[in-house]
Amino acid sequence: MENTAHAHPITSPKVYAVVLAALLALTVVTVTAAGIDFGPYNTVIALVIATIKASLVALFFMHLRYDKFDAVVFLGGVLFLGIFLIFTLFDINSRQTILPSNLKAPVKEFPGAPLNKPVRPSTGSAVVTEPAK
Amino acid sequence: MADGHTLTATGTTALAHGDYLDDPKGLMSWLTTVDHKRIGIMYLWSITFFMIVGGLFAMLIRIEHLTPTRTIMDAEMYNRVFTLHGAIMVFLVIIPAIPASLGNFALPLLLGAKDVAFPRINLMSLYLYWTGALMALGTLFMGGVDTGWTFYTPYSTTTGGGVTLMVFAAFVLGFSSIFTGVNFIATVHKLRAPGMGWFEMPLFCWGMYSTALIQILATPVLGITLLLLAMERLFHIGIFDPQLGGDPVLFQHFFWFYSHPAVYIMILPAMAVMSEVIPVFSKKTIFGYKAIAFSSVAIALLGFLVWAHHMFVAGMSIYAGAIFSFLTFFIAIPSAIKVFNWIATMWEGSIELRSPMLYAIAFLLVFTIGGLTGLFLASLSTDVHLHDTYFVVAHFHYVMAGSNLLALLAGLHYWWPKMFGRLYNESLARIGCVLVFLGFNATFIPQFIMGSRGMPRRYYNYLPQFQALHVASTIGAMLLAVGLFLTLANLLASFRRPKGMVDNPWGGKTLEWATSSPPPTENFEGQPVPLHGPYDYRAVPAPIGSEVHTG
Amino acid sequence: MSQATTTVHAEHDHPQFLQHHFNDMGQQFDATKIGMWLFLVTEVLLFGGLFVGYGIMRAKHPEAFMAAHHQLNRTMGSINTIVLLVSSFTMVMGVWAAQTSRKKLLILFLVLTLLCACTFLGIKFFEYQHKFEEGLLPGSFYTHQGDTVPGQFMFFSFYFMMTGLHGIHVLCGMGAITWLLRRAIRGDFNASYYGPVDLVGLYWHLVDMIWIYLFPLMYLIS
Repeated sequence: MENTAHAHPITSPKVYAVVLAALLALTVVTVTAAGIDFGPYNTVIALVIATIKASLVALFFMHLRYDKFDAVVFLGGVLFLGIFLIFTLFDINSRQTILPSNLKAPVKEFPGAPLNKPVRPSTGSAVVTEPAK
Repeated sequence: MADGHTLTATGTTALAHGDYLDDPKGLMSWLTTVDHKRIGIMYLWSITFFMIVGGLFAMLIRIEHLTPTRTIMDAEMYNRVFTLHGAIMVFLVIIPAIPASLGNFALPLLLGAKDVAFPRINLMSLYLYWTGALMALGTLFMGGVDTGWTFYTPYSTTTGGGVTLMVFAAFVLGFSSIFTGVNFIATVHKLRAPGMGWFEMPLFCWGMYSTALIQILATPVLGITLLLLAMERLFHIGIFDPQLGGDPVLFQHFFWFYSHPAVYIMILPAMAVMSEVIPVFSKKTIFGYKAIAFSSVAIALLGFLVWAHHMFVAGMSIYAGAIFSFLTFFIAIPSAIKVFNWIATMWEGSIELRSPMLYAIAFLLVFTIGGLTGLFLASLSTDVHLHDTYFVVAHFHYVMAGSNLLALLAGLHYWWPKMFGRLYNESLARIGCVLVFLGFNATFIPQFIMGSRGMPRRYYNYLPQFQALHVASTIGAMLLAVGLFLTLANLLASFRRPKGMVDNPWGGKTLEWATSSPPPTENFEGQPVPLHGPYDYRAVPAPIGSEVHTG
Repeated sequence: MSQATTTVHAEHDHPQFLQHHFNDMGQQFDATKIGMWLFLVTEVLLFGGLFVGYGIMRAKHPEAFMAAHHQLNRTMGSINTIVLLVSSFTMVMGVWAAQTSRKKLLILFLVLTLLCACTFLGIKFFEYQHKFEEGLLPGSFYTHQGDTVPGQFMFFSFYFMMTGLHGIHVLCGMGAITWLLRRAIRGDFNASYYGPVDLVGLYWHLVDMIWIYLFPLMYLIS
């Protein structure tokens, strides 16, 4: 059995420090960017910055730079999560919201959600009654 | 002899100390063991126990359905009975059955390893199984569960009973499954014998590996689904409740993202057993090794793309339905490739109809029916009529129960001498196989028929026109039960014989047959090195039961 | 005749931490590393399920989520992000120290990581306390008054579930690091045996990664 463990080099603390600096800088960037309104791109920009940070952690702190096999394992997991998200989102976005039709007495009355009226959906063109104020 | 074992003239390996069953002794040594073989055996007894419990619930269902109205229980009780039957069979029996018992026992032996990669985690997996099992049984004392094993919202979030406890039980059992998966993948990657490349290891290992892929990728999503369900039940977090802005169909997406791949956790190990049994009892090398290996992985991965075919009439969008239907048809391809390859293996082989082989042939018939009937359900237009009818029930019993059970029994009869150093009565085993096969078909063929004629599933009452078919199904179930008990009794009766098995009664070519039956705790004396492939039957075969070791 | 025909009798020098079923330390290190990465994949899918649920509910109720997230304290969230990033740094420095047989530095970095984790949980505690006081609680416990946009309870359902599950993982990580600390003080780790440090480090970095995604999605999007 080959000792692949001893094959990968030991990263120097300087590299780790530089990566930390980059991560902190990106944190500043993402907080600043949150204050600027990019419209529909807000979420995308935030997630892109987060992904860059996560990649730095994975590549350098988790040593995936030298460990192709485990990188494949990890990315495989992310891929299947993506499949779950994308197919489910596709379903949700390609149909109308499910609304309660036969409303009886509410299970529990609590503020913040008008239980006796359907909550206004944000997608789809279902006809709803506006929550009466 | 070149393999470093001390062989006696009768082909048994004389061990320096006791085998894994005897040494060390005592209950505590079993409960604290890290030996994969002992863990596999403990899983085996646990699974057998729960199969009997789940089977009793099944008999209650079948007896209830002898008449169109009340027979032995009321509707509320009926809902609880079919729920427990499903939940116990799925989570406590079929998902762990082959991987945790036969897989744990045989995988390291087949690879020439001393144990799995993480033996202590293996033990933890067993303890988690017992914990989850106790929690599931605990729901019996909390008013039971009446949601069906699928826990669909909003009923499951609003009904009383032991739903929350059952949900947490399944959560715990999920981790048992995950740890088994982690163990198997690491074992296959890192603990193969020197010289055993990926395409030189037995196909059982490919099957276990593919199963483990699913266990790792799918089970955590079940975990979070159950957590979300519990939170919805306890705290009304709102995700699945339309009154609060949630989406009940979203629960089904979450649930089936695990539960569909879960059925491949059930079938891939069954197929893995077939790939071992059929070549041995055909005395012929497996046909299409790489095709079977790649098909295993393909089934595992493709299985993640089709989950919403359980949701065609649930309120899902028609576009999503079309896509999932299209993708579902593809799963048939690698499954069929395997069936063709097994049959091709048997073709012009020297077939011995011993009980493992009888079970294997029964599997081929049952699995083919189960798989083909899946196509009717994959097709949107026919599924609209067949969804939630007995057709579905019959389909999944053919693939989940029938195929799995037959494969488990094939594997048990095959590896029994290796596990316990004793042989069961072969005639009784064959009779048991025939009874199980006939009983199984007699139970579920009437269900295909009544399902296609509109008999809904999970219904307490039914229209009188279905009674004849229900009665036929119940009689079949009793025959199946007789066959299963006969088989169990036959296997248990083998313990009355003393140990004294030859190492390799079947003439198998895989590494587990190179050590004693039963093996020592460390599996092999030294590190075995394979000098030929796992299905290398080119040499003139010695008759089965021969006690001569060549070389 | 079955498959094996020769055996290889390995010469063991029995390294202290070699487990009985492995042939050598290299095999043990590789196998345990694969095991940890597989476990991390399960964690990705576990949390990922929550992210999917959050994403879908957010897509359905953007105004409610938008309004609700203003109740979160961005400063505290940012500080927590920095704290966790620093803890990732100290953790990987601990791994480096073990790899280079620097026992004292290893202990120092493990302690620093623990301190960062405590700080994180401390800040989280104050955040949670504020939410309790305001009635910004999950599901049916939501009692906040004066909302103009209805449905904000759902945001807090996810907020508590996700940060709560994350916090539990931080706690477990602290337990694991404490175990490492005990073993480090005992002198178990050096250049030829640092596997457990590496593996706990991998877990800790994943916990950090999850927060890297949680932070913008919960605190920053507007």
